[in-house]
Amino acid sequence: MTPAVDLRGASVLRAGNVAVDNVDLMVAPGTWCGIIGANGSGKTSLLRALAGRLPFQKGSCRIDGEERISDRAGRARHFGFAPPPEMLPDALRVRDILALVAGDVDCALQSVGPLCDVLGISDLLSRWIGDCSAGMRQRVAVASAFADGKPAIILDEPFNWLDPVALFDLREELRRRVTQGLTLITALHDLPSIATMCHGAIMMADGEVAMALDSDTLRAGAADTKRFERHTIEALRSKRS
Amino acid sequence: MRFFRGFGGRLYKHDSQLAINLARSVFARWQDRILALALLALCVALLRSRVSEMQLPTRTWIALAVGIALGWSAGQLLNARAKFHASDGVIASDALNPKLVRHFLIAFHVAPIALTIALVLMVMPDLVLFAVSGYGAGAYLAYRLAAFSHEKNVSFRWSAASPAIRALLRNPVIGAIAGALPVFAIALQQGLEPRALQILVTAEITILALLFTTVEYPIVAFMRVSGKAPLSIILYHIKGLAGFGAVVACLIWFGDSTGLAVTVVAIVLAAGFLIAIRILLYCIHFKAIGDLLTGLTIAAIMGAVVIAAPLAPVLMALLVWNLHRRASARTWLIT
Repeated sequence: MTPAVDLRGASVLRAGNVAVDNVDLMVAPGTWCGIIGANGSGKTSLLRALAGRLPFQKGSCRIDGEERISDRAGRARHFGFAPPPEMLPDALRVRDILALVAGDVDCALQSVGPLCDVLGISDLLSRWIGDCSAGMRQRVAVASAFADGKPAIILDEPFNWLDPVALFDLREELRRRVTQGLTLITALHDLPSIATMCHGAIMMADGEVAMALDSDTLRAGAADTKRFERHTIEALRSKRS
Repeated sequence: MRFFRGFGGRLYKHDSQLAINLARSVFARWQDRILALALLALCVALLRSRVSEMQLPTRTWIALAVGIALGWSAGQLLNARAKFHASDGVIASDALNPKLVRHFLIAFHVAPIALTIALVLMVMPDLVLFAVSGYGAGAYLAYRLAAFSHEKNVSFRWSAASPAIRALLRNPVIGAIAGALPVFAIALQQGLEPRALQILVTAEITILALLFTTVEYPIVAFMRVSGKAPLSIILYHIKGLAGFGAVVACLIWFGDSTGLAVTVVAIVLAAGFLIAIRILLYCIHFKAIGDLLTGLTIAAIMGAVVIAAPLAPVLMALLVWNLHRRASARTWLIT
């Protein structure tokens, strides 16, 4: 089967520094791929480059079998991407954001589907972004990634700032969507979520892939999340030192 | 309007909606709108009477310069917006499509061109063509510079300078060292005529002083919510400029150029005023509105200097007092 994403030796520069160095990553269609790592390890840069928000410096980036390493616009068109919540414009309403992404707000709500209820989007539609709390902004940013019905979505730490109920419901809804064929790539800090939700994961350290976690490892981790958490933390700690 | 929305695409729709909402927010009260209209009418009338006394060549140059400045500023702003959309916006795929970006830029230039034509028609109607040509030249220059910086992957924006350099500009010692530079320049340029030397030194000092007016919104916002009073935020940002001004004024004064020292003090005070109002506006509003109002304030003050120079310092003092009062009320507030 053609991988949804096949990265080989990909590197990304940020402000002249190497943020991602020689990363390999393969994501099968209809699976959830997790990325873990310390703060500043290159997770966000990798996700942004995949979503076309940053250029790759070198390497190969095949999306559905097609080489797109130099095609930022093509990558941006392919993936739904949640922008950083703090970058959403204060002087627009939530409905304006969704309408801009999807063409009109009804189409957006249709594409977001059950996530609307999970994220409480209907209640936020008339609210100014500037009047939204951090959690509300996060909900809007996640919804905007789904608003134009893309089959592959990239989310950078989507559970940040969410209350426990929203966090649980979002996790379940994302899992349901993946079983229906969505390809999902997320950066996460919550190790039990990685073990129980993801089909594959990579651990990043200093811009490189420090460890790749396959589905068997994650399945074993899901059976004993405490052990998985302890082992992963030890690995992260050793990479830091 | 509908044509431009179609032609300019989603990027135009996004930013035009944003601009309309920002304008509504700035002029939310009817008193603000009436005051703005009255000030505009007054400025136009006074500028018109001033300009009509000038010779045709002078007026032509002014029309051209105003056009270039407006075209350049609008071009820079729109390029920055296109760059933002491509990296952090919700419709990045459009902002990465060169054809759609060109449509966005063309559609968005219509409003500032119309504004330029309207202003020049009111003040010097015979020179509209010069102003529009200047606008085109300024906008084209900004577009070419952005295209060049994109192709070569270099940045000419000052805000892109490293945080370490920006931090140095808040250091009084660095300010004092920079303050010595124009004096060395004077020593090297002694062969020039006094008038030419004065113009050259004034230009050098103005450029250096402007370097020290860098203000970063995130720092202001953080200090404000951490309970720092507006005055202490201003003092934090103004140290580099103060060191620069003190040294350069002293050196020129003791070098027996009293006239030049007065000019230096005026330039440094103007730069300090720029820092102060930007910080106070950042304390009251979020960044986009703060930048917009800073631009409008500078334009109003420059208008006041042209029309009635003695009134300008009074106006500046009143403005700082009023903004300081409002900014103080926002200390500690997170929203």
